[in-house]
Amino acid sequence: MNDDHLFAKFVAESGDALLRYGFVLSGNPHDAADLTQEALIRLHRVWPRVQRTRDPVSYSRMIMTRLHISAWRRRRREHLAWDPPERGVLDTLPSDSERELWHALAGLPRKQRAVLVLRFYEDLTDPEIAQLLGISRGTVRSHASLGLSRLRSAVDLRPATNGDRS
Amino acid sequence: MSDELETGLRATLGHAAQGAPMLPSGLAAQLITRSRRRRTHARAVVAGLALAAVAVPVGLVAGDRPGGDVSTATAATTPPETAPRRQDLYELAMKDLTPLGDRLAVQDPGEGLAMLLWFARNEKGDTLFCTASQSRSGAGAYGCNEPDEESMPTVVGSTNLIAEKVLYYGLTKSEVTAVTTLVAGGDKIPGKVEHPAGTPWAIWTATIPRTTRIDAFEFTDAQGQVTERKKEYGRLSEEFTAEPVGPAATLPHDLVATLVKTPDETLIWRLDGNVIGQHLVRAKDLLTNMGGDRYPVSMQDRGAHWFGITESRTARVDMIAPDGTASTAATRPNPWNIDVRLFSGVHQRTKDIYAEGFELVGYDEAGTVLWRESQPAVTPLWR
Repeated sequence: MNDDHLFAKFVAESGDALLRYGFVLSGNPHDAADLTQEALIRLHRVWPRVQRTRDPVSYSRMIMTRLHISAWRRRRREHLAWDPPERGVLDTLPSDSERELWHALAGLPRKQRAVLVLRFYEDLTDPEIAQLLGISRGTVRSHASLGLSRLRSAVDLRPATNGDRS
Repeated sequence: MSDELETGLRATLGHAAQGAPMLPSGLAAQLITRSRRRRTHARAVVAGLALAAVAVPVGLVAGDRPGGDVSTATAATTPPETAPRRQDLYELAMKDLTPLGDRLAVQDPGEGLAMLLWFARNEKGDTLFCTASQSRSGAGAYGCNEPDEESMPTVVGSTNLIAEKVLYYGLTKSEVTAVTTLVAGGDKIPGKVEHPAGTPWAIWTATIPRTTRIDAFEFTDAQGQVTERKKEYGRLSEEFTAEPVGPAATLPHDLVATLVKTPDETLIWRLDGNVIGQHLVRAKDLLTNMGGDRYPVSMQDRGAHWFGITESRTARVDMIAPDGTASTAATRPNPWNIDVRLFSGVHQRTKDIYAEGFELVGYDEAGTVLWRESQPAVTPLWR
């Protein structure tokens, strides 16, 4: 199997998971699609080296996160290979409190959101997050603390009734 | 409290991730092509640097037109070409999938073009709901998701939320025969429920003016009984509701641009108070694509208005139709010290400018051409 076949196999096996990560990281399907495709293009360019020496998923996630934090907002100028349909609404959140939390996440600075997503969605440890973002463990803790504090003040977490708040 | 928040956050992110689209089949091959093309392009850019400094003087439309007014001139210009035909978007979406029943074509009110909704089955036997849409500028979007029958009726998505009208769509079980949008003030706007032949579920659609506040979508059965009300949670992106920073820039033809910094530095364009466009203007991203390549202009349009940002040397932008007719917009500085100039003009084309194609040409103060950007005529993305 040559490098391109291995790369295609990787995209088929891990692409959707990366896209889901991009979605919770950025909050919308277009940025998620752009981040994922851009990360995969960059991965392809270093594929022979990365597949030998690193975990390609971790590498892709690092590219996506750093892109998102450093220089990202949907850039309509360049349409990559695929653009997902518009999603003005998100119907997968089962309760009002989760919808509130999702919208509150949109108000966080990117680095804070990225730290929270890596910790609570990807289940990475603080040292792993620190390595991925290229920051110290103390800074990770600081971003997590600030992000959680902002979320706490933005959403109402009174006990739910019948699984939801009225 | 903290535990509750962290538990809630974990659940929210997990549930939200289910709303992500699925990557289409065959994407890897396209990414590999794009990767190789970018590598080639990087080499070409280096080779072309010496040429880029040479500007070609063209006496297309003499003099500046401070009002950004409409003009007509016959230009000795190369007519925009028709864009090379791309692979049929529906065929691309259906790679490795089997159609399940008929397709439903509905009007995307934001683009004025058709949008496709249909069902398919993948190799594992899962039933998927797919959509494909096309923009006037020739971009296509498509994707499939596995519907959750338990939570039907569902609101699957909407078209562009800043267009004058927005199409909402979703899925229902077959006992639902009608959908009504309940809007603030008590009004009701009827939608449609359609069940294309051979499909497992019905598809509902509702077209609502953007300025209408939606309370809920109400679903009824054949006896007129309400079976479900789904609250509407769609919200505009942060930048459209953020407080502007600094003064507003008033441009010709009643356009107003403001700068917001939430979540990024973004110019928001309004006409009659309504958002009609946006441009990302953070210094790092300014007129730069994802590959890091710079481009000279970013233009958007709404009706006859065309507007945008261009590199700071540009004093005038012309939009040239295939018949040589030119519409001119003088550029002006922005009040926020961003390294671009703003422009707005109106054209008098009767056909869609993207359907017939056009060219944008930028000039400096002396009337020397600085750049040309061709927009080939756009063809439909599927049969």
